[in-house]
Amino acid sequence: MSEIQEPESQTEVPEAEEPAVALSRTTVDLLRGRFGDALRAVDYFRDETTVEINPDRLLEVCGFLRDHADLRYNLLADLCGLDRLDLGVDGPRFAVVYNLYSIPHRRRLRLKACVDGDPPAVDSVASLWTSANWHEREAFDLMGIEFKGHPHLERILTPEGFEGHPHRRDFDTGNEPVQFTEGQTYVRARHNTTIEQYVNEYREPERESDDD
Amino acid sequence: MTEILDDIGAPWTEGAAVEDESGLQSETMVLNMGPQHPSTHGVLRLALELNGETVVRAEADIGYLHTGMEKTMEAKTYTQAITVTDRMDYLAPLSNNLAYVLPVEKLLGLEIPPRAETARVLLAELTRIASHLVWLGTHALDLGAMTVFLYCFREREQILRIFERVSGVRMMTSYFRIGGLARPLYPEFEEEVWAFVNAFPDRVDEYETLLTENPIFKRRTVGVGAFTAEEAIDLGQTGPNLRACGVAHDLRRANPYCGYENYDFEVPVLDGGDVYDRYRVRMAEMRESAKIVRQALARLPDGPVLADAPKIVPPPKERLRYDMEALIHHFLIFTHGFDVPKGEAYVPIEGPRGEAGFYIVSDGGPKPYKAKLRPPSFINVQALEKVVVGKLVADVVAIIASLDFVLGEVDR
Repeated sequence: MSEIQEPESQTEVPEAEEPAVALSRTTVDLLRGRFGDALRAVDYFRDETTVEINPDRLLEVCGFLRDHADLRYNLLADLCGLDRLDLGVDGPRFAVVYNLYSIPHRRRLRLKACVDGDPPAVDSVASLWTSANWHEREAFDLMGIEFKGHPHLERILTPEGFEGHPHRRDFDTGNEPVQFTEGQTYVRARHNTTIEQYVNEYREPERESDDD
Repeated sequence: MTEILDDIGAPWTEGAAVEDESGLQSETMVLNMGPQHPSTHGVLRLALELNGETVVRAEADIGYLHTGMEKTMEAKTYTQAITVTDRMDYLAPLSNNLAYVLPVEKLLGLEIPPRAETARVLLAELTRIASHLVWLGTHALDLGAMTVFLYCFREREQILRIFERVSGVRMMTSYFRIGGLARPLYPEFEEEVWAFVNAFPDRVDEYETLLTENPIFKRRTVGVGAFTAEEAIDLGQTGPNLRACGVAHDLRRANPYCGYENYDFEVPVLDGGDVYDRYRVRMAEMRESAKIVRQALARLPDGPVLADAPKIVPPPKERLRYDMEALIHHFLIFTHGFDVPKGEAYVPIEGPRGEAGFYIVSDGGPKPYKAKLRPPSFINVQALEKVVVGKLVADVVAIIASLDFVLGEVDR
């Protein structure tokens, strides 16, 4: 672990956002030099850098980011699915967002792979970072994104027999019955039910007035 | 037995023939641990495949506490969603509050008054101490040391009492607001925190006399459940678990937030990577946190605790009586909420269990379009599956405790 600097030398930290962005620019420049048009968009917001890439080349890009000596994004901090249905952006509906961190260089990069399809599918990065395993299972469970080549793609948080993907924007909330008895399957979550329909269905029958 | 394990998913090879080094034939056995097991620190279920007393394979079954908290946050305004965050990691509520308000403030471009920022650091460090105390107490309890548990909860109670006076609640504080703090600190706050941090180092000495050189404790922890730095990083480990295997990575140092670069503290690093070193790193961290609290107290400036942003921060109640604009802002903030500019932000903080942070996506409206926590506990449970393989079944309990997770945050 010779690349990891001692804590004493770490006290010199970039003060303003300028150096952080400059550091990220190196990442973006290296990526651009190596992959060219696989980079679809680059976005800087304060000290954060987001790179959107062509999902077909995800594994190549991730392997490059992890192994290149000047990058060394060795920590997959987080991974999640994003449903852009109501976000008002063009392009595919889903995005897989990778939160990469380089412990030796203390840099962070947000990588996005936007996908469409039914089900939307990207390559699994579990072969590069072991920690991706559960994150991808979570994204599969909650967002319905399929990860090709994942060693064990099963639901992880929702109960067995659950149908639908609750973090999708069009998942109907509010009428999922809580179930504690065994042996019965979960009631399918209904989509596009309006509040009025819901209220009507569950309204108590009107009582006879006590006045007469 | 195999039916019980079916819902975990992967095929289980119960009764698989194994051969040991002397050529003797034997069979593996599957042992179900949890979900109602005191040493799993919550509702975690582990299925262990054993060859004699050695774990051949482990699989964790989580989700018992899943209530869709991140989805709930999408239906609440930015201020209301704060209350959800401290219910995720209920042992470190203020850390989670901080992890959520920072990215929202980043999107809004809010400047936080110095008093609020210093108080945030102070309270976040007290939270770290309180969380480590629960970890230490239960860890020792799992290994059969009851006394430590009682000592730890004595000090933790003092911290919770401070939290209660600060926020009104012992555990579900929701004290940090977008733009500062929910209400000013109470008048005796500094005095009470001074009393606590002055006494605290001696208390840590007390815990250490009970455990650090205790031969029974050392027999149960030294060399147990070790992993290397490369394995830890590959498993996504951060925080004390990573620092116990020789990586000096602390976000308070590496990418400071809330002005941590102005505090003088050490980052404890050990290189054993085993349960004992994770214990020692956390003990040292408690002392360092107390040091930060002292510095924060010494420099706690006077002034407002809320940013000057009338469209985001509700005005003081008495101003509503004579100030028309304040009344309008009050009405808007409490009915509609405030709009956050379109974009996405993530500000990681060094929580007690590792890197925590909310990835916030805003569509320009008053509710978070998406709020995703980077859950250190979730990642630590995943590491558990890998770490216990090849270890004795009696050590599994020690390893569970040493990785430190809160099931509320695992399942969300």
